[in-house]
Amino acid sequence: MKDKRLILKLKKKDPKALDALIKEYSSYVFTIIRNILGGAFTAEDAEELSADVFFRLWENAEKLNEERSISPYLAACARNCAKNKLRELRTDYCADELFEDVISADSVQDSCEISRQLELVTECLNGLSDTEQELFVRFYYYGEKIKDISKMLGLSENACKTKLFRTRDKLRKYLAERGYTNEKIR
Amino acid sequence: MKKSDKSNWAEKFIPNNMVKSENFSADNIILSVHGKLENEKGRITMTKTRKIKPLIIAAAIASTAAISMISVNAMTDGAVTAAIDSTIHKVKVFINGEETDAELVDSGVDENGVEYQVYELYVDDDEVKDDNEVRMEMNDFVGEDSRNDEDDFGNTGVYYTEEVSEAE
Repeated sequence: MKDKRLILKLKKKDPKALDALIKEYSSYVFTIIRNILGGAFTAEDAEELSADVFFRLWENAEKLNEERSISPYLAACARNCAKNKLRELRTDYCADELFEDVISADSVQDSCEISRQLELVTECLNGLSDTEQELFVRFYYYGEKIKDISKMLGLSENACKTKLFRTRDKLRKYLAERGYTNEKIR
Repeated sequence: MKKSDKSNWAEKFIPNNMVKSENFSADNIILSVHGKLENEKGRITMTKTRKIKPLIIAAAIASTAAISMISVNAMTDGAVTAAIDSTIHKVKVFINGEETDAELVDSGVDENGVEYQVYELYVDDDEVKDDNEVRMEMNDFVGEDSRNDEDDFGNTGVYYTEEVSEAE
């Protein structure tokens, strides 16, 4: 597995491995950040935030599990970086209450937390239908619009919102059973 | 686009409208990341510098008596004291067997008419252990002692001071 080789090199602080991962995943990370930031930010802003994501990756390489794909971790970091940027710059920013209280992490120090929460979220998502999983991932992690997701899945926007609400509720209960209360899940 | 790995949602579901590589610059991202890493290196250096404490060797010399005696005393932070002959040309300090440069930073006569010389050396906190062995050589004389947590104003009339360098 290519990722595994690169993660192992990254753990040994090989800058070439970092460059290779940036080449491989920058489009993925940039897309998520652009989706969440919306049109109010320039490509340079999104590039800078993408750089922050890969910087975190470098800083926290030793915490990565090389047996797993790196993309969920990057998606979670990209999402958090973009959300934090919105919070910084927009005083009127209102976090999407559906998810923000369930799972988020907003600093480098939270990288372990990101990894652990990702594991739990993934476990929970595996118990859902493909449609529910896809809706959840696209909306919460990829920052895609309900309008676009509903078209793609062939559902009404209201049906999407209802499913998202139920999924969020399941996830919250799932996490709470494993000791993650709202206080612990930032 | 879906892939077979059900446990990996990020590979199973790829973002719609993935930004094409021509619409942003991966090279800019690489440059920016390396810039951040360089900045971080600077920060780490500063942090490390903070841990380095200058240790003052204060050698007080009775002007009427040339004492060929040395007493070396290491504090928790590696402070060293020495009573030395009035004609010191070369001081060598060894910490755990490794020679450390000691620099003459001051000399004079105090209010009691006692000549003194002050040497300063730098030891990284990380390298100083509780059972640190400090050895000192001056001219032909070699003195050795283990660490001691008490000031030594003993028979030698020697004292030491310690200063903490705050790099930030």
